[in-house]
Amino acid sequence: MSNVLSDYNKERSSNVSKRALYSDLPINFKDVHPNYKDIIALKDIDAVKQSVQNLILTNRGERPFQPKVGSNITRLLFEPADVFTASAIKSEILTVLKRYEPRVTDVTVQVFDNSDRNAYNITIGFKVIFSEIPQEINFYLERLR
Amino acid sequence: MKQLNVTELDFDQIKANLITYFKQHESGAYKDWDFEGSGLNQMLDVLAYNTHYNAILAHNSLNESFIDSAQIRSNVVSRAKLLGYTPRSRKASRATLALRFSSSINEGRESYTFASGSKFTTVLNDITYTFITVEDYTVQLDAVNDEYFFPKVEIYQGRIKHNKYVVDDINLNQKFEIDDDTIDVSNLEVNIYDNARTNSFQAYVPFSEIGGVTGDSNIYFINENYAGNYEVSFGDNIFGKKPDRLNIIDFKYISTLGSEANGATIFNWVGSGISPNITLISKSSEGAEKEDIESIRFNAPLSFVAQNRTVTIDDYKSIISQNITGIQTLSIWGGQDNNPPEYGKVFISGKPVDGDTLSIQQKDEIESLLKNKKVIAILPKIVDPEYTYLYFDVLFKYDSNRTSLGQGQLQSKVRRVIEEYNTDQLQQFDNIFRYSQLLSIVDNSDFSILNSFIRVFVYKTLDINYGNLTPIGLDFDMELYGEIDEEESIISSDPWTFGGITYRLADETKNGSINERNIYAYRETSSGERIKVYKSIGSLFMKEGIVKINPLPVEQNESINIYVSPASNDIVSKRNNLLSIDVDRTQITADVDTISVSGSSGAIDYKTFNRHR
Repeated sequence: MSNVLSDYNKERSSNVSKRALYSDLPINFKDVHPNYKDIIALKDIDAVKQSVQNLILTNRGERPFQPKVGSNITRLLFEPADVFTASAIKSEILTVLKRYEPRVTDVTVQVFDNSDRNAYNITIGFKVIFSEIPQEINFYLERLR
Repeated sequence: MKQLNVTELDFDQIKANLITYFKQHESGAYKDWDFEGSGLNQMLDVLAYNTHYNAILAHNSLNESFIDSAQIRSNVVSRAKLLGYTPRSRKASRATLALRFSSSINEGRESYTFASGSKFTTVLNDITYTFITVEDYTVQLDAVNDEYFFPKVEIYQGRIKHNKYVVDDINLNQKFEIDDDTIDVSNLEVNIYDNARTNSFQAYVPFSEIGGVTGDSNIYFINENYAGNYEVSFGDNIFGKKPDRLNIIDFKYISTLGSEANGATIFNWVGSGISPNITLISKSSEGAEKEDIESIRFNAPLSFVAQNRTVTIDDYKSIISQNITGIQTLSIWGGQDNNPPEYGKVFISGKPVDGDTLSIQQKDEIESLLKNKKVIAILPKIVDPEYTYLYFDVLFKYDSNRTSLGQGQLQSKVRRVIEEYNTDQLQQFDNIFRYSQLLSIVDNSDFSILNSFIRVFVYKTLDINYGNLTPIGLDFDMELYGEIDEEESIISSDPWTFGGITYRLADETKNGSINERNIYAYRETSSGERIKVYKSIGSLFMKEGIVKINPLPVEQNESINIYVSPASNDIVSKRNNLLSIDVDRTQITADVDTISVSGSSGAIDYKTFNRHR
């Protein structure tokens, strides 16, 4: 059985506080450390928020070999813009968070349909398990074609 | 110690290993490896997918390197090439005719030539097929009958095509490819003309043996290329002659539809003038499709082992199946294993795809094929297969609450699975009829069938030729059921008529014999009483399963079946015996299982199956 024992970053100092419970790679690769030029990690609540956002904006079947990960709200944007579709969007969001994001609790979803523009304004409220502070994420979902 | 397990191939396992590896970094910058929504997890998807993709690629590449596991035809062919094996091309269906032309077709001249390329047509399944001759036939005038008689004219389905190349010695990699997958390579003619203005040519023959090849030998080499087409190459003036610059190479071949045209019996001549009288010698057969991957995979190593010589049984099988098409199954055995032994011979028996016995042409082809490949002093002898027919009493109990099918429908269902078993499992040489296997097939044929019982019977056909004066025999090649001093007859037979009276065969004990019973012929009165007429016309050897019968009184050629019960329910086909189930003669009886349907109250009426009829 072969084992790979290399660890390129072993001797480098971490640019993340060791007290952080969760830390994640920012997928927009935007914030760079001024000295090391490393990507600055997202910590704790920011990490969870990014995860929630990723899950909702991922379509099912998009991730290789994991057909169930994600929600189908992109497809729902092409359905008639009415209360039923808004309800379906809400249900999709609640399901995906329940199934794949164990760090959030007390999830509330509000979907406001902006029928004139074929768009939805979505507000997701939740708490992260290690904090009592309510969090909120806003999306404005709009068809591009 | 941080370790990464790199031996897995599946995406999920690769990803799990990566997560395990990264999580070992307790002081690492990132921690959210486990959450599907995290950016890290998405990055791992990319890494794991890439690793998985490369693993599959490596796996497939390695598989394609071996003849056993390669899936792409060109790779199987390429591996077979290393074993000196050229896959068989499509083969034209061939028929043999006898033709009689009136002498007036050639104004009564001394001889008449029936030219190659002459056409015939036939209709099969509403499709018209064209057959052609590929050589000239010349005969002398039969002055007595005032006709030209061609006793054996071979015709092939398809049409003749030409593919020409000009030799260009500047192009060092010139390929002579025949871009036509309908080609029948066995009829390929390679003729090389000196230049485009001459009609004289040299014919080249396919390379087959190293012995005798010189720099002047007109030989060509043929193999299948990556595109699936045949490619011809020539020698280098040291081993085989090399065509010169500006020579014209003409490939003349038959483009054929393969097996589609097999089985035609009625042919019409296509030509002007007086039509010949056509007599069929053998129907069209041997047409075959291009050899498939599985066949190449099977034959190439055998061909390599045989080294183009027939020594062992597998050598014979390999060389015959590689060169002769239209054979479904082959049996080969040495003369020492024959009954009675015939030393110095090898016996070959084949069943064609579309009939019971090989055609005369197929037998001729096998003989001429083996002529130069067999061990000296060993004489191949081709014998026809003999059929041993099995038929059964199939009895089964079923729970009528478990099925919506009626009794008759269930019986039909069981009959169908027995037919499938007959086609799929039997009708091959060196095969075994396994009793328990058939029982389990019957049991599993429907959910409602609870148990089954099968009585096995066997029969063979005795052909009696009118006027034959020598004893004839039937060899069941199995022990028969019953005691040597049994009062009941062991065998039974079909009836035949002689002098207005219907006779049948039966047997009885023979005084003083411990291994033989006497066979007699009897007639039945209207009250069913048996009256022995021919009291001793044969012998039955029960241990060996041999029936010997003296000439029987017949008015014409007769075929009568002799029926017996085998001592064992498992039946082995040996030598040229083929087992086949006579489904029409098989009786299938379904019976409702009263216990399953009615519970313990049904036990009172429950009837079990008898071992004997």
